[in-house]
Amino acid sequence: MKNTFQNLSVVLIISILSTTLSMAQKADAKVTATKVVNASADKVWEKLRKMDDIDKYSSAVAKVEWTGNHGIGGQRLCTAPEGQGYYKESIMAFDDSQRTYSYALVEGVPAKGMVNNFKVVDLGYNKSMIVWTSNYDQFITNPNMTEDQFLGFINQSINEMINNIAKAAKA
Amino acid sequence: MKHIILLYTCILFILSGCKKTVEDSFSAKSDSLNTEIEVIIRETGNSDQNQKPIVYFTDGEEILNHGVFEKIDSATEADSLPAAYYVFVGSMNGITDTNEREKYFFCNEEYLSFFENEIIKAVESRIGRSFSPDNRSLAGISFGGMNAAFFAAQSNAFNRFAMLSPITYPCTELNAKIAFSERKDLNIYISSGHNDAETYAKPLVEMFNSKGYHVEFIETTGGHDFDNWNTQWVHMLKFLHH
Repeated sequence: MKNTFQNLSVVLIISILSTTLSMAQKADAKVTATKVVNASADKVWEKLRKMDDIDKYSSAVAKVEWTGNHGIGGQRLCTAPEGQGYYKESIMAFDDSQRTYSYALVEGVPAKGMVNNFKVVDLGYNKSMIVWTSNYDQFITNPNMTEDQFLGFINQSINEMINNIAKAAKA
Repeated sequence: MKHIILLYTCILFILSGCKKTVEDSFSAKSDSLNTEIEVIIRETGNSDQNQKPIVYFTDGEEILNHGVFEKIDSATEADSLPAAYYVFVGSMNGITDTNEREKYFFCNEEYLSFFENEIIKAVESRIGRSFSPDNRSLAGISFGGMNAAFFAAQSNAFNRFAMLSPITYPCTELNAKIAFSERKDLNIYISSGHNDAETYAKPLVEMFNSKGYHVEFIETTGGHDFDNWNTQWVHMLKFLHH
């Protein structure tokens, strides 16, 4: 009975948070991805906050080269598999207490002013939610990719990444 | 007698040449800000006018009221600073008589336009010389430091900046502006006292370092006040004039 009540509470909290997040979290976000994780927010954040090992979680990244501060101002150069290009990201916000960081895509993507954000929300009862949002000012028209294809790629990549981070945090 | 008067006149002329501080002030009518802004230009030293750099200060009234120019002038006379032009740009709205710094300094595109399209042209036309961005600096205190950081990311008018105790929270997009900025080879002086603006100054230093700029970061034991800032002007200006 106690377990049923606990489970119902968790479902209720998740539903309320999901609704609140989808409404409040970046109403203008171009892409939002969320994932409920059966692990504490601290455990998930411990994985996410490393920032320099995203090649472990994304098949779109073969290598990460980190430069600078491990926090605001740090930069990661992510190389795609088989040398299919690279993209460069600059960390522009990092907050352990809020379990969140933001990064600007400064090179290598067909979008101007692209800023992405990770946040881990504590759901209690050893559960948490990864929330990832992405915004950009303008898609840069190019012969290789339409904006729909770009958004599809972003969606696929980020979902793969947060699923793998969730798995790693549970392990 | 005639010769004595002539000699005396020559001596006076030479002496006046040793300590040369020229002042010009005017009220700039701004279309960008839809108001009038008080501007004071002061020239120090006696060297070739074409060699002198120029430094713009925001919060002009406050800076002058706290004796900053006297410190600069003394340091120039003592040869601690090179001769230069200093421009003190006020924050008072000349029409409403209110201090608008919290409007002008909060990543304000109109204030940027005021500098880029109006005040620099007006000042430098009065001086009779157009300065290159490498000879032109912008200095600001507190929110004025945030404004200088915004200009560093957005404007091509200045290559040298000073941010004393910059407080950056009102401009949430500042770090993104810096991250996406295409500006290169900037020289930036940032300072913060203890229990002052460290929370904002250090991330700013990291952001500017990530761009490969030449950054000097000074931590002082002072606070968020002129007691602290008044100890830094000469050092700051040496950095800007280097």
